[in-house]
Amino acid sequence: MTAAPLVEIRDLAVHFGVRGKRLLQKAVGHLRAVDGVTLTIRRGETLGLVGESGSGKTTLGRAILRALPVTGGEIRFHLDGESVDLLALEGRELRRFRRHMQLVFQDPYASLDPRMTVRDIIAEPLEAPGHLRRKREVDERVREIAARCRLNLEFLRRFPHAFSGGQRQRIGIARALVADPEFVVCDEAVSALDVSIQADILNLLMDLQQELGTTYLFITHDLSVVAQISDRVAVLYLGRLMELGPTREIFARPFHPYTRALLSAIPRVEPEHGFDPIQLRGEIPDPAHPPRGCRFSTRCPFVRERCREEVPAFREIAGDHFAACHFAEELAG
Amino acid sequence: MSTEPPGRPGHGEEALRYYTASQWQLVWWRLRRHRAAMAGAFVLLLFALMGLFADFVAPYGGTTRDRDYIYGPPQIPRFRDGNGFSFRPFVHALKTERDPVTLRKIARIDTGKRRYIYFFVKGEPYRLFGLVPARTRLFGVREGKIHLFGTDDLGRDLFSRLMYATGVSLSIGVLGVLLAGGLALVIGGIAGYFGGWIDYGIQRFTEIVRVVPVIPLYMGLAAAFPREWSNIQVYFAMTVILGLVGWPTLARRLRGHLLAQRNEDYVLAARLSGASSAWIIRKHMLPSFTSYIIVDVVISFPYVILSETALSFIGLGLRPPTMSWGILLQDAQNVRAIEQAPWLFLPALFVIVAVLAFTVLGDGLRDAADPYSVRKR
Amino acid sequence: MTANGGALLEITDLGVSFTTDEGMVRAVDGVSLAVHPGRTLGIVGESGSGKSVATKAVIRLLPANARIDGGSRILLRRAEGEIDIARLPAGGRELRRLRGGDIGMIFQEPMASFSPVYTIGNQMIEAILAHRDHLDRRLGRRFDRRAARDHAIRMLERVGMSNARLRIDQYPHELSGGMRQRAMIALALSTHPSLLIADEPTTALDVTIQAQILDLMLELQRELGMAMLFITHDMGVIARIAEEVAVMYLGRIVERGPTREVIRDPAHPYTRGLLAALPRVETSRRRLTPVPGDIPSPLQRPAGCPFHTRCPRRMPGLCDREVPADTALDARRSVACHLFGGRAS
Repeated sequence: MTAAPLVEIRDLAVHFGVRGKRLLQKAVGHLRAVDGVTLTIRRGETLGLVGESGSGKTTLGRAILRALPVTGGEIRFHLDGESVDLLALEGRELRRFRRHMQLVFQDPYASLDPRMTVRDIIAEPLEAPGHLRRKREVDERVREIAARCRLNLEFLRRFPHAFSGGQRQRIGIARALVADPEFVVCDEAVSALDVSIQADILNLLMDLQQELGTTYLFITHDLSVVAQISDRVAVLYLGRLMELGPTREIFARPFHPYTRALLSAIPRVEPEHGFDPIQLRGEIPDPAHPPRGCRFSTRCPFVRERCREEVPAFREIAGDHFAACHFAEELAG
Repeated sequence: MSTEPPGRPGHGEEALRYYTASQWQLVWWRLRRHRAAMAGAFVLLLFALMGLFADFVAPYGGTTRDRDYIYGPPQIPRFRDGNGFSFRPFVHALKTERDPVTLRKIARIDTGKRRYIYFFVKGEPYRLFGLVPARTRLFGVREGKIHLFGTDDLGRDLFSRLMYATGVSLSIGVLGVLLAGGLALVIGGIAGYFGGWIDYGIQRFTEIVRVVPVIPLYMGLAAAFPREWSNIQVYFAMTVILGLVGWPTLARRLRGHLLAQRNEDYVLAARLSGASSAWIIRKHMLPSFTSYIIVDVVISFPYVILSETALSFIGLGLRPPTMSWGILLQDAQNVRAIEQAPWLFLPALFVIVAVLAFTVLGDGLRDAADPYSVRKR
Repeated sequence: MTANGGALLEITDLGVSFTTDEGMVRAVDGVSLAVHPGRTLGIVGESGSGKSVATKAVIRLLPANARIDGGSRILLRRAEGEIDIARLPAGGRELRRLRGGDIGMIFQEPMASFSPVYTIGNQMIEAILAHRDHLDRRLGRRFDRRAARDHAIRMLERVGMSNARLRIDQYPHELSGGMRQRAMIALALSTHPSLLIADEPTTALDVTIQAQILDLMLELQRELGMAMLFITHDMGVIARIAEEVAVMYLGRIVERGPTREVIRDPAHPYTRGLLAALPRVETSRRRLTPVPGDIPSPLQRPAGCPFHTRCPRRMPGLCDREVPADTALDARRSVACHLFGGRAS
């Protein structure tokens, strides 16, 4: 029943050099923002990627889009029976490939060029790489996607300053989808919106997925949103995957202590759920100096000696449900 | 939580006009509301017209001497005197007498004789813009002379000289700023766009230029002008000096804008859409940039004008018979001028007004140039 | 439940307007509420609801282009008697003594409370000494610089800062986000205020840290017996921390009551919509029920009920004309909606 893979990520690493304080000094250290992530995103699914600040979730999302330099690993796209090594593409080839993948931004204000009309903003992925040259065709395609995103076609002549946050986000989504990409990364796409608007945008994203069959990587810190929109959830902590599995499984039977702590900390509206967060000790460690062994060992309430020494393998614990914890079975049982 | 922009009008024609307004329209709408900036712009327009049409506005040539009215005080146009009221403004005629003690020639006002002021009178011949021969002047008197701002030690009409000086000072400012802006655009642009060690090198070089003290540098450069240079040559050499000294500040700001721009989400969005560098520069960077460039250039104007004035004032810049604000102020250097001819300070008033006007206009432009800034919070 | 007579803070008919380039913005319109000693009132609302403006008015920390209506009253009852904060001279001594003295404040961004150029300890000691009289009275002991430092260290320990003795000499930027938030709470509570105003204090924090901070605040409240005015956009946080809630929309309170009851059985269509729009952990891959339409621009406040432009149950001719008055549902709940017979009196 599992769908075919669309994006395969193997051992992906993104390290940033930490500059020394002295003049012209070479990098003194590496911030391992993403450190050995292996992940398969399946065609047509929504994979939720959750994590707290410093988890590297945004970096991971952008690395998959080649928006920043990747240190190591492999990213493969499977398109029409053809397998493309994304990290091997350069220059013009890469630019032409970008039609297959897109990004929806968090900030609906900064992500739209205030000097362009809505029509030009949405048309950019068609016009910039020269996929479509004829203005008539472009206009037609822009109108079609704008209508799908429930944007009034009158709006196309207007500039972004005419719009509220929710409408701007629709414009951003229309831009992401105009070239009919197979894969879209939504990076905190509803986090800046008010609750009453957020629901509307989430619905839109789900509807568009139904109509167009797009695959989403949905990055957010908000677990309720992830529960709502994703088929599977991946939990990231300090650049490493802690857990990955079907949404229902993750929320009903989390294997990793970090996931459990995270879930227990969601402030619930319903009083019957109570609120008894698993208290984590201390702060999220500095990603430039992550702990040895299990990354979560400094805050884990169930930490043992082995956790501090040995990096736990990311392994399948139940059907299609993975976790990186030495004692996953024990703790779940 | 993002805050909705407070300024979104709701419905109707006006709202639609606002929604479909381009950047420049928004800038203009905002600038128009900035009263001080509009006043500054008006004053500068006036100055520019005065400078451009100096030959026409000035009643006399800049070096024409009125031997009968040396160190003569300003003649203020009046509508009435002891002989009654007149709709046409006039000044009183002058008669020359000898001071009974020193036997020097002095001018006395002859309140009995009126010299009426007419517009578009025929005066000394001149060539408008150095090309079109003409005789008509904006205003003047039919007999005798009129010196609205008085005369200097040689009896030259200060008002006329100020008109010519305004033209020279402003034009030297424009050329200097344009040169500085051009240099800044190239140097700051290279630094900001390429980044990395190129940026690093250019930054350090810019800092070195910035720490060189300006006055000695000016003096050194100005002293290097060969004496036999013509006034035109000196004039252009001055603009080059002003440009060379002025660019680092501008380049720094331009680089800052560029770096900030490079990290904008919408630039990343364009890149992820498969846009080339050329597309990004043309569609995103340049349009947002031009408004900043204009602001920076306007703001750096006063410095250039003050530099020219200061240099000419201490005798290192332009030289007579060229007229500029600084050169006119040279005449106000001595104690005698302060005591006997305070009107010789009038050029200073022009300098102050021009600098103020540029500053308020620059302020207003800066506020207006990014019409989206407030909305975003 | 005590009547309003026992309230620590009582706001009556608060109105705040801003003069902007684009025109007059009515940010808060006729808000009345009461905060009781030792209890927490939550104010929940989205952008433009005026929740932040209303609470900033309580400490008169509004920008220069804001104006508080002449008829507004902000009564604070203290041992020394009651004062109307709305009528205190701006920038006066009395206001300065209130802020950080009787009324503590914490914000979303801790750096807004701290100056980057002084150590945490330095700023806490300054605050303690500035409100020395108030503290002397409350704790019955003389505060000199030494005592103030000891007190600051105790407060830092109290908010769960390990190594408080060392941390007290650190600069704000040397602390992590969660620690900064703790330090800000310690700073705000070091003068033992009777009222703590918390403006989205956990919004910028990660959920695990947020849970810690919320727990800490509840604990400290029990211990110090202060009243809290807690502002947030997050219904989940409100459910956790506030006994009573006031829901704001476009500058007006549309519904209020005990938090549990409001959440279980919301009366106002806006509150219903807001709760229905919340994504829930329990419901995977289901369509949500958004509140239709957009929040109107504050420049274009709708006539009548502010929510009528988006309300699924609006009654034409009534809701778009008349502002609904507060209608009591029972002794502790009220709603401003024509469905419940609210008429402007």
